Amino acid sequence: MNKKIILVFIALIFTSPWFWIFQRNYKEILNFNKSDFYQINNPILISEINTFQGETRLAEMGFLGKLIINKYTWFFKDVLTQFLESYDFHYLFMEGDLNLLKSTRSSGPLFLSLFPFVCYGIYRIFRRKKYPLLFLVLVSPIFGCLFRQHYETLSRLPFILSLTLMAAIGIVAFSEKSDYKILKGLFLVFFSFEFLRFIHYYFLHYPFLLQR
Amino acid sequence: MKTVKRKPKYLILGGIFLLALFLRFYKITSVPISLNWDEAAFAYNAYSILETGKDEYGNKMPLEFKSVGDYKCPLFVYLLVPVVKILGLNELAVRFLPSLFGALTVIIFCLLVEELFEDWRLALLSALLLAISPWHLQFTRAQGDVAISSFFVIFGIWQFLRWVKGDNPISIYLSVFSFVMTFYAYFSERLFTPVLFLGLTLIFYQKVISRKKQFLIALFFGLLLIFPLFKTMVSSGQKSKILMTTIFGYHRPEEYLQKTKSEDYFPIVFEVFHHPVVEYGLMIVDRYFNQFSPYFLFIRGVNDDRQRIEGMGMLYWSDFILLLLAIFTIVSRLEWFKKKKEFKFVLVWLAISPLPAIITRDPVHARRAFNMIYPLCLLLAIGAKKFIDWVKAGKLSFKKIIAICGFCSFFIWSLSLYFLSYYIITPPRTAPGPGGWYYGYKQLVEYISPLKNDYRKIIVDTSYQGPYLFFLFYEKYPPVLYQPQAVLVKKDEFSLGEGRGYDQYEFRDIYWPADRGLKKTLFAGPPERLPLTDIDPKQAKLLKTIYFPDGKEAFRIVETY
Repeated sequence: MNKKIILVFIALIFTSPWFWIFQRNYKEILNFNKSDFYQINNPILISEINTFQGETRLAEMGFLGKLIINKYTWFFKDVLTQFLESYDFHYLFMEGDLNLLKSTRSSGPLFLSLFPFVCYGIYRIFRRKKYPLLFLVLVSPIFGCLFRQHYETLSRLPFILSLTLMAAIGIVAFSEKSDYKILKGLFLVFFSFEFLRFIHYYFLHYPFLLQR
Repeated sequence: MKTVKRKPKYLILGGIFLLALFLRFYKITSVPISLNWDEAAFAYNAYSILETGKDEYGNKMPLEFKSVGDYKCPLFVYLLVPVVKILGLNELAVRFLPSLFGALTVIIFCLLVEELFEDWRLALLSALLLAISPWHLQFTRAQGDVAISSFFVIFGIWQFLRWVKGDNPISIYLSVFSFVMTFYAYFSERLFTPVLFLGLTLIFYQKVISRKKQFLIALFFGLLLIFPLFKTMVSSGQKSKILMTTIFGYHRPEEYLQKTKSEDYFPIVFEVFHHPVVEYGLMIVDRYFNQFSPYFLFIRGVNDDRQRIEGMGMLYWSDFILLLLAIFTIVSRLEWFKKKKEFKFVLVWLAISPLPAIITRDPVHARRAFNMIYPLCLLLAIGAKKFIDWVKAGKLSFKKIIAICGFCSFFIWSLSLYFLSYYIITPPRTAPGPGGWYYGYKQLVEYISPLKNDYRKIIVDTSYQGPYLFFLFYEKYPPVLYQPQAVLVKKDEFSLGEGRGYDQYEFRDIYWPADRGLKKTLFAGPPERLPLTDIDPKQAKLLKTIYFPDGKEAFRIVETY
């Protein structure tokens, strides 16, 4: 990985919405307790399974109901849900975490202007067969299953960092192209606008939002 | 040799068609659990056309059906006329055509994919995946108009490709005719079809130019066909429909604007960062990508009860593996795919399919983005083909056995979960109210109708929306008698309307403290409108309670003396 990519990667981290919010609220964010972690036998899941099984029993399909909806399959579905949620565009680029301590709700953990570069970065590493990096993007969302809460950002930091890295690879690769000057200019304008928009939310609206 | 090879392909396609038919007709009148008001409106208007040649308001052969003030497209109503004539005015008649067209679409889709990629395996896989697709089944078993319009979209594309690749001029006329029919069939296609047609024309530009005379004549033919519809497309009804359902009629709440302005200190900051272009622009981008989100495709689908399937999204859970494989296949052979115009078309098709959904107010909409399912099924088929090829290549290793067993178990579980959810778990949860399947009206009409002559007035509450449609439908009330009495009452300019009533029926909100003074009147409404504690036995009596499938009260029927 060349120096340029590392520099862009660091710059992207420092400008990222999640970074600003985490450095502001880190005490509250890190102050989680045991109940915040994912539990295999969590009561909501068990109650949902029981309700579904009850409904299938009423329809005289109790055996099939148990076979399809049970602790193991529902746990698998729940983990898969948490995993797939990480790739949600709305979460990543529009609103972020559901918890106000971890998001201003005006932008996701990543800026929207990075979206094309994340895609381009992934394409680049795939074409260059850098499979460990690709593996990182595919596997890191698994940490999202650590927390009970949906769309949780702290547990998804490894994934967000991997996407930031993809964006950095994409930006550097794109900047090295000799043409597309207008697009490069547009990206800079859009990125600056997004950053300023976030900063304005962060300083002007976010304190009111937290108070409410 | 060729015919020998073709036979099994057509046999397989026939088998897929039978499967598609079975999945679309099995328990068609009981799942979804009841008719929704659109279905009742389509059917009653078809009945009205059949009996009188006029719609429920007495308009002669209209090209837009006012209905509950949502101005429905005409094609489905007119196609329903012969079906209602043969089968009568009932649930089967309403759902017969969408199911039939849905199953036929599977065949046309197979032929379309074959025309695109000249690969029968891919075509058959695509057809099979479409035949069992939860998204496709959801909208081809009920809520008819979109099934009809999407059939014409697929047929139009297929014929366009046949024209481009072959030399039969009839195909371009059939294609244009089909595309025009989509304008008559479903509101959203009026945005989607022109963009799709433009996309097709631009992608196959060279072929189109080489036969520009045929193309221009066909285009003129299309304009002629569409001409009668122009007047309705700019009618005040359509304008108010656009304002009601799309973001063009949406205004940010005054409270939000005031609060934001006061927090922003400087007006310029507010003007720059909260400009409508910025906020609406972000809203549109968000809605567009929401249609591709895992939440919509796999996890939950849509919040709307009429569109959702409990416990899953619009695709099977296991489809995400096929989708991943498809992306992997495409990216690894991108140079080959880049050269193929046909593949560019599939991407354009997928990219423009959510257009009607993104300008509407709902965050995601499976019905308005229904055209997405076809390119998605094609991508899933690419993934499935890749998997089959990988399994077939070389020796059967332990790794392969694990992968096959793993995927098959996952697929069988996903499939079983869908059928269990669709037929058993979802119906009782989505039955109640206007957000769901309007359950209870049939039972209500069956109870009240024989008694209607015993009362001076029958007042039915409109909390669940549209009772008049269900009374007209289930009573098979003669349209010739209803038309002079038809009046649509709207609460405000942004709401849909309610039929005021006919004969002794009055459809309005019940206000029990005032209404209980009415003598010899029958009331029907939800429990909160007719509280048991306020029913004085000297004045009134609870005759019957109708329940939702989950055991909660749907309607109370109360008479006053």
